[in-house]
Amino acid sequence: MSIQIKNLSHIYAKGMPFEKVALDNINLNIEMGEFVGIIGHTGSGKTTFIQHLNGLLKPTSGQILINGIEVTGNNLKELRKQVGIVFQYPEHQLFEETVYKDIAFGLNKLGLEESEINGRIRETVKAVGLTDEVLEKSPFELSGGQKRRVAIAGVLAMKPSILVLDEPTAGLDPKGKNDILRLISKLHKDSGITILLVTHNMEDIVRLASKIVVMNKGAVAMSGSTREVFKNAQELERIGLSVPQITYFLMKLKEIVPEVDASLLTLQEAKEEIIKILNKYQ
Amino acid sequence: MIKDITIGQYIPGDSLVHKADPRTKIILTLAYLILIFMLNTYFGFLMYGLFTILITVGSNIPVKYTLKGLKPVLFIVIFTVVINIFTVSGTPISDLPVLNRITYEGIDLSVKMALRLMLLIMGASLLTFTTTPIALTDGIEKLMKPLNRFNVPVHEIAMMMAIALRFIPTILEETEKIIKAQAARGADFDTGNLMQRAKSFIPVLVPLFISAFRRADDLATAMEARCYRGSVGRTRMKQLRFSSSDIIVTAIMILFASLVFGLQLVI
Repeated sequence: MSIQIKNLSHIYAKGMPFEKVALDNINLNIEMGEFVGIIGHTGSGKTTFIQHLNGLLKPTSGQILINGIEVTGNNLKELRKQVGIVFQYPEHQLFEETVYKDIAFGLNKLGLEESEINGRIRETVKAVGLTDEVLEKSPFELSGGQKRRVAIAGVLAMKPSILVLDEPTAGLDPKGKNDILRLISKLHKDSGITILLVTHNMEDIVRLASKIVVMNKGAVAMSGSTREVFKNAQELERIGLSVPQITYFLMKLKEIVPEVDASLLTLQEAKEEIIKILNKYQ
Repeated sequence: MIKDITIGQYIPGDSLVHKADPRTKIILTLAYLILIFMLNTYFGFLMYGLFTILITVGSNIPVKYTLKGLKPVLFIVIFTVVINIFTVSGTPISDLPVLNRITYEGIDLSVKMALRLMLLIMGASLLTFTTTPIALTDGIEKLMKPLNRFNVPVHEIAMMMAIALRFIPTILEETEKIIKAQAARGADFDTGNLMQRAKSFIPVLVPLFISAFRRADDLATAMEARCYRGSVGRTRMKQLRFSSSDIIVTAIMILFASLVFGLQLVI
């Protein structure tokens, strides 16, 4: 059970003056139940890549296997049931008169029964941290953060086994951002679904992901466990990315105190390391 | 599907045609379009087609790209041909039923009509391929200036056109994004009868309208913040000026037109 990507390439406007190689021979293996962070500079091909996972874009060459089944034009319906994608600014896709109807849109397409739909909607609305009161409101009356949650709920209610999120926290205030991240983390822990998270925030990745894929100019520049990837600070900076702030702090500290471990990534780890060093010097 | 629309696209380049003043290009394109309707022999059409391809190549525009622009209008072309072929009276091509409705005159007329339509699109798209939307509207504004005397709000019309042209690619991009987002939620745009299909676009149209209004509002605010107040006292950073390329381009056009219509009379 895994997502296998073999020699995947995608070329936009092939043969036209604007031809652009968006994905260049990507090979990846993602195991079910993993939490994968996808990072990369703007225009590195992250969004193009994730659109291949449920057949929204067709590969120019190469193939994608989801649980051993190849993504083709014939099995899109089944595939989109399994792979849910939350796009950037998903609140821009809301269209129904009420929140209830909007979340029900995808469920109706799945052909579920009315009672099942009702149950799932109430369940997901609670899961994304909203109350039943919003269900009868128009999605356009809600605040930005609430709209985002409704849009995410629309995808979650379909219960995909693979959830892809493209910068789900862009443009939200700190509280809204934390809520969304906590929700994603909880989903991963409780129902064990596979999550692919595209983000620009290194702290978020460290907090959530167990594996990282670094993209650069349409190719996979690095992939591996979070710790391994963040060891290559210089390489990451070269392609316009960074390591977490606290790691930079530890690197500076290491110039003065050579025994500091500069590969730590979280505030908690750094705190313990500094206390350890301080105790030694006293 | 949406990517097939090439009309209105600008393709950067530095050919003679790219460098010519937009006013020259607009007038020459109009002349080109009018002349198409004065063609009446197949030889004339052949010459005209060759000239169009020559100019396209000379402007560094891939001919393939121009031809691709014909795809969306193919339906209209076929429709026109079918209507013409069955409605023009004259000598039937055969005595058989159905076939006796088709006349030699009908075939002649509909083929010419199809050729005219295709040349029209190819010529008109050459204008937008080689001219930035801003230059294009600047040119139109300058050309329509005399109408100001009759209280026609020329600047405002030109500004509206500029904005409309500027937002075509943005709206297309937005449409594609929303289609994808709804498709990811299981929306199906390709099956069912006409009614069902039309209905399946509601989830696309509603968000599209909302974002278009939001964009319009933002743009209006941004223009006001930069003190836009219409044409009064407005000056330009880039003044339009005629140059040697305008003379050359006009000369080529006049030379060609006399050649085609001269030969059309003789042959």
